[in-house]
Amino acid sequence: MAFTTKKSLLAKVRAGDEVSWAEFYAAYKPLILLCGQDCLLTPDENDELVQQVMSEIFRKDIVGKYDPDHIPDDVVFHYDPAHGRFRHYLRGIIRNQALKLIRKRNGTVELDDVSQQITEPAVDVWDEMWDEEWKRHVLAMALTELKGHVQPETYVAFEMYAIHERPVQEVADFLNLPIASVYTAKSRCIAALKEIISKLEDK
Amino acid sequence: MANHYTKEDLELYRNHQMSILGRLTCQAHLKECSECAQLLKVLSEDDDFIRQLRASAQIYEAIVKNEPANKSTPHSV
Repeated sequence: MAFTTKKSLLAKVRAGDEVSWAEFYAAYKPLILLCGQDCLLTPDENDELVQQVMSEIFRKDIVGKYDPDHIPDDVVFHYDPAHGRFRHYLRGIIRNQALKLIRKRNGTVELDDVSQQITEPAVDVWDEMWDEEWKRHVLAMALTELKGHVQPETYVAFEMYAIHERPVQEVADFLNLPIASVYTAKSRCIAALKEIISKLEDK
Repeated sequence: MANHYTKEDLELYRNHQMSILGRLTCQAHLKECSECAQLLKVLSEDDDFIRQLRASAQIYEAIVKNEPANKSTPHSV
């Protein structure tokens, strides 16, 4: 059975379609936070990083003015393909904003408290870290999208067996299926995930 | 053996869910059939893929719940 799915967020971004703050924020906030954690930012600095990155992408100065979790629906952005690949564009913005926060911290800590200072990540270290985080992001997004690509029973079998590591017999009993069907579900979901990932990867 | 094993058969084989006779027959076939041996290898690669997927899902679940992500490969910079 073929499933028609709504366009993925990344596909919309790349196509220059209108993307709402809420949709973008929900999808990319975790990625920005993980990059901030990699840079050893504090939770408060990390929240600021998310707001600064979002403000730059949406060209909307929301810092201190709005609750970033409740931005009006009419705040949208269109990605200009002239910026190049979106993943590289986003990488640059997050890195620049993270560096600003690191410099801000290093500039404010007392000279005798160097333990609070952070070393700025070198470009190659940052790029390596970014590639790893992007890979995680794509995998997490693909798993979210998978639901719309396979039969509900297939998804549940995969989720229980592969993601939650339930014993295959338990999954088969729960879904009233032969064990072989659980394996078939796993195989189908892996194939679907690889197809989703190949579309999501912005290479 | 003219017929090859399916992915499902090989899952049963590698998860010790075949009968003893079925397992021995499959084992003998795998020694002779590069195609089925390759399919078995693909299943191991799928395991690696699922491990990465599971790890990513757990990290994202933690970060969405506002918990520090427990990464196996930290990136202190």
